[in-house]
Amino acid sequence: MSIDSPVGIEQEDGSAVARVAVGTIITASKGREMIYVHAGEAITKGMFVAIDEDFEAMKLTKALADDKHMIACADELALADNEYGYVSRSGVFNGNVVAAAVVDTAFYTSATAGTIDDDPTSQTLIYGIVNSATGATGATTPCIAACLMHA
Amino acid sequence: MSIDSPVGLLNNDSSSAAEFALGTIIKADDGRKMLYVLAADDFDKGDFVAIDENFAIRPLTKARADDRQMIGCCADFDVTDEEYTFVTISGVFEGNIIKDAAVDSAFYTSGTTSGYLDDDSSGQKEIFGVVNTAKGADGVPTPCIAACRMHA
Repeated sequence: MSIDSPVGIEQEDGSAVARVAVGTIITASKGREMIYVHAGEAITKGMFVAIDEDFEAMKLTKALADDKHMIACADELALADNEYGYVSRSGVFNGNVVAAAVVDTAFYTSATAGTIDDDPTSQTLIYGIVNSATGATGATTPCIAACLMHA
Repeated sequence: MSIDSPVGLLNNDSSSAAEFALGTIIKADDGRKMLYVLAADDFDKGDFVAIDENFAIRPLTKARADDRQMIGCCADFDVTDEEYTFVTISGVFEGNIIKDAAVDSAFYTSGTTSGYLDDDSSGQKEIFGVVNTAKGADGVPTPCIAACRMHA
């Protein structure tokens, strides 16, 4: 998969050592903007993550969204704890949304870390993201983030 | 106009065949970010567009903003149905807004003209991230700033 910068770094690869500085932003295919992060825990492919001021990525939760951390999706790869990789902050990608969420739903954090939900009960709204297909159990769902996702 | 990527591509042109992958983002030398799309309608220079998950563009309407599609502007030239081109998603550009909109207005979809932004919120959807830097005039694209990617 091609990217515009930095030359030679592939965004579908995770690594145990940093290949570029954390916080590096690239533009990628499918209208995406991606940011290079360090995983603070194991993250499954498709999970939404919160990214702190040190570019540490953790599974998205209400508490982290309430802290107004940056929000992204690990759409290209699973990251083991302490691995480095790119995650998508905007554009078209597949992410983990709750099963049966209808198309073009507004999304909130959920009780399941890393998954977003169309049920707002006691959760925090995530701006900028909708799904373009119905959510299905155990499968990532096509999404559009028209801007950088944020709480 | 020069761009940083892909090498050699000009963003002031359109074509009947795809020259690059749909969804390619470029950074222009005037602060804009632009997205490569396929027109699903005819557009006048300055028209605002909704961009779906397949990177097809259609005139911006409340319904499409409600679906939270990506938003861009055909800021550089007219675009014909089924042509491929770049549209502006952020930065400084000229777009079609309703006549007499005051400078630095908050903008909404237009209830009267698809593809236009309007400062009248009545029954419409707010478009975040974009303001005008000059008063809107009839039939003339108006200077705008999109501080971030425009979105509903």
